[in-house]
Amino acid sequence: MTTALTVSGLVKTFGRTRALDALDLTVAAGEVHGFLGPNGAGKSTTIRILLGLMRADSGSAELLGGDPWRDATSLHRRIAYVPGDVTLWPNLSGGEVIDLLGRLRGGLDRTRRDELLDRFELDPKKKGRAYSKGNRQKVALVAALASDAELLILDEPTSGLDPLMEEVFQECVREERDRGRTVLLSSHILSEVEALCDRVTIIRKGRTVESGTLTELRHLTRTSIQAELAAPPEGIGSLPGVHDVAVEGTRVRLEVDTPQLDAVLRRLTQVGVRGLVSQPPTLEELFLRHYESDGASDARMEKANR
Amino acid sequence: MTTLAGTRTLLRLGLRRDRVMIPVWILLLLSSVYSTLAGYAGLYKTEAERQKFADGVNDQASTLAFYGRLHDTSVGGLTAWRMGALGAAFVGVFCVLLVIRHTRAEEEDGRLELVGAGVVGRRAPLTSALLLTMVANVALALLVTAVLAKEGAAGAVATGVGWIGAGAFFAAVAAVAAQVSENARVARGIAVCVIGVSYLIRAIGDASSGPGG
Repeated sequence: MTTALTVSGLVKTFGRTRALDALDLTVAAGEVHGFLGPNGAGKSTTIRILLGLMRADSGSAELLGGDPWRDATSLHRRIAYVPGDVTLWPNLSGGEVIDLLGRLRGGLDRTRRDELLDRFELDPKKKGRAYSKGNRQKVALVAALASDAELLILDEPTSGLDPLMEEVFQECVREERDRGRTVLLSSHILSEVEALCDRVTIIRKGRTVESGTLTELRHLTRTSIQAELAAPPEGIGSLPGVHDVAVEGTRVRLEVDTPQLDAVLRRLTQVGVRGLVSQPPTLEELFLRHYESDGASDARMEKANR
Repeated sequence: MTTLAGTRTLLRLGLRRDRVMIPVWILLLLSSVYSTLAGYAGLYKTEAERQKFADGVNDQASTLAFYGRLHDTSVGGLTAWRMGALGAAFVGVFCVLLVIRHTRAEEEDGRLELVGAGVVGRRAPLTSALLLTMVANVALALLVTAVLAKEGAAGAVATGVGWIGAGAFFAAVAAVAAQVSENARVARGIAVCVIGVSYLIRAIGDASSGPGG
């Protein structure tokens, strides 16, 4: 596995706030990597350091074999970036901005640009001041996707896009991956990350809390099961890994830690299954549980300190 | 030099952005010079009338403080006197606004980040902002020289060069102000304040040179 970027032990402080606190992030070449975290977790700060717009206080970062700060200018030829909040020049048209950003990166593919304008239904003749937030976002997206950059760094790129455009965006990202490009997608929209990403890194308060493939991370979550059985189940609540059991006659609802799924299903089939609904763990739950447990320990700490 | 990569593209961007604003400023300053010139030409037709006016000016501390000493009693001389210091202050404001607009304000609005992710050297944004400002400043100076030229070439050139100097100085002040302040409004405030203080120092100097001196 060749890596497109490696970050380890990255620290960045702004005055007394510690924006990044020993953050680690590794993105393999050719993958779509989800970079997840709540607002203020340090996603944009990490990205700014990767883009060489900011310098880390300590830790190391390597990007496409170079140093993001020292080799910024030469690396930027190979990177396309879309910020989460795109501001444009009020009296320049969208088309002018796309061409400008292309020129600043050393050229873009005109046919691809026109095709993308079509797909995103963006009118390039309108002036920056006339665009809605979503349309400003599209301008930066078209410029980035029409470039021949090896690495796309997208910082919450779909904020402001409607569901239809979100769909177009996802198609485009898949196409980019199929062409062998690497994508770092920062997001807090979980469905987007679930739909697109091969691997995910979850950060919180400037630290990496989890990193791996979606399948790996799902081991940390619970599957919820609703079953209609032949007879009332007995003792199902005492099985390891089973939570929140609710039995009403022959109906049972429960949540099970994904690694224990097999044992629980076996028990259910012993009783006889008439109907079964099972829901895979969503990233949402994964996310919430991380935050909940963190929040709980924070609360405990506070109590202890009091 | 990689720290300056992208300067030309950014300069073009700046000129494109300000394709209306810069010409409007230049036209306003030129038309005020032209109307001053036409005004004096109509008001004081003879050398004697102008000399009398000059004596009045140089005898009064308040006019000395405001406009400085009147050295040359030609129509061009009167115009240069009237528009020299005051005009230079306006040129200063013009340059300050341009520099801040293309440096601190760009960063504040987040556009610098969009640009900075391209092949843009670290010194390119400031360099292109100063270049743009100097392009506008020199264009203004050339035009003001042209407007005053038929009243005396040497004086016209001197006025133009004076404005370039004032513009360049206050552009540099603005560039420093943009670095030391967090937002555009503060940066503009600092730079315009420096213009005001400079004008005051000149006023004190001119006023205390005394009547007739």
